Amino acid sequence: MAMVHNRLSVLRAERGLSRKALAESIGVNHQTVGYLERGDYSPSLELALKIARFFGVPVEMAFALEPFTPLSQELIRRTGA
Amino acid sequence: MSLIRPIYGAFCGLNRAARPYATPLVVKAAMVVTLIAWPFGSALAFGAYGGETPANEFWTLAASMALLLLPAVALIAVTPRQIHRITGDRVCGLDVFEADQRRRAFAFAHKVFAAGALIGVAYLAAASGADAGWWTPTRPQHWVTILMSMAFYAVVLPTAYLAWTMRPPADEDA
Repeated sequence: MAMVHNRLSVLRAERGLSRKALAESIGVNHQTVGYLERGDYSPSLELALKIARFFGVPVEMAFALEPFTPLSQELIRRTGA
Repeated sequence: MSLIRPIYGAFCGLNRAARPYATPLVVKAAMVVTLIAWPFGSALAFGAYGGETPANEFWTLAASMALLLLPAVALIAVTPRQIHRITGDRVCGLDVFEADQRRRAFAFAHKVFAAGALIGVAYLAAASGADAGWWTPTRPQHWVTILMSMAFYAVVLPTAYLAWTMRPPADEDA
């Protein structure tokens, strides 16, 4: 089964949320957020959509089949620094 | 059923109670003790039931009871933890991740049970067919012990599976 990569820890850190707060918002136990962030668990479609809606981003911005480019590299590429 | 479901659902929400997590070593050790001590205790109990003298029967039975108590003590260390809650709690108290883990654990336990039943049937067929002098259960106590063991393993096997396959939660959540 292909691994699903995610940006959950980045999105959560940007908003200054604890795992517990995120877990309560999306209706899971807080330990599950930890398992999701570590990539130990690929979320169901429903959970992925709930997470994307909570962060207000398209689902492919939070989850992808390929590893995400680190945000710092992405910034450098965009600003051309 | 249509009446029961809403009533049942009203009392069943996602279980967010604090669940301390034992270290993987503690959980694995408890599972090893549980899985090993029980069959040894049962085997000793079989010997006790067939004891030739009352004294022999008493001491063998006492040793077997001690061995059968060990798993109970080991289970106390694991029961309140998340790992056992996943297999022991009601499904409606679990989230999608935990429900998925539970499904995997029960599927594993089902396979082990099916294999165990097959081996048991093959053994009994061979023991009763041939005149090999193999042990077969003859007394009601033998059957009680065998059935108790089956019930015990039904409870413990899914948790034991998770003890080996589930990584501990992230530090922030432990």
